Amino acid sequence: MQNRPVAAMADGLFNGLGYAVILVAIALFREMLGSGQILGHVVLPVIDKGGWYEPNQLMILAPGAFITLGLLIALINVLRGVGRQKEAKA
Amino acid sequence: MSEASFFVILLAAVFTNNILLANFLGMCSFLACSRQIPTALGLGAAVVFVMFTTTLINYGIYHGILVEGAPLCPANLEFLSFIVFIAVIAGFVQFVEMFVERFSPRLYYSLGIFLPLITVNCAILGVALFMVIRQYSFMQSAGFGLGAGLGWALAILLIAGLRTRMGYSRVPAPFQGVAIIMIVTGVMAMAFMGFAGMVSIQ
Repeated sequence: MQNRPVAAMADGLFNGLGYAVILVAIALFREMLGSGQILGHVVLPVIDKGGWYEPNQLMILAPGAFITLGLLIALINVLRGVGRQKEAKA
Repeated sequence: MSEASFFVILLAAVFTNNILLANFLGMCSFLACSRQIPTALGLGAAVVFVMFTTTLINYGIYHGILVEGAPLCPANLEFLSFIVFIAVIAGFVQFVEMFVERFSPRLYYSLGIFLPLITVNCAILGVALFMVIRQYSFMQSAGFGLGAGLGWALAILLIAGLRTRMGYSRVPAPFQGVAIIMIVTGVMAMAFMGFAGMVSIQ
């Protein structure tokens, strides 16, 4: 009983942190592909400014967010080994 | 304040500025209740009803009581708008829940927790807040509330149809479940972007 509030606080804190990690990961991916920058620093020099990268406007718009999140969920599923056991059985 | 008419705002809220596909609002019940078409249709109808009626009531309360210099209470009570909007929405969802339980128990059990969760459906509070931010008139708010509800119902209905069909296709294992739904939703959002330029609201 003594630990319950502490455990609940830890639960809340780490749920929030997990959310923040996913949010930042998606934002990094979208900002990099959408405008060639990360936190305002140029990583992929865009064509308009003499570079080679054509920014993907879709990443800045809503569909880019849906697709990025879908790919991220699939990536996490791969890391968690989803589907690997099924193939072993088959 | 824009001068767009009822129908322009209705069409824009359904197609070009779809509350789900363009503003990401109401994702949780969209993902959870889109397995079968009848469930999606039931939840869509509930959302249309709640969104339309609460937008009208919230419009009346906001412009009649809360805003500074309002006819019923001249003091500035705008800081109460969140709690008042949510209370109105909660009251209506309570009504819808009792109605559905009485007249369609099957739908009631298939929706489960997601029927009361319409209370905190971000799409519905979002519509009330957009109405305030964009300074819509009464008819514009009516068009926006109805259109946003219909747009949400259309999106969940389309995805439910696609999910029923996807049951027959071979989705790679890591993509099964939510991941493929997110990607299909992304493609659908892209398709809806094809409507951009037809009508527009900010």
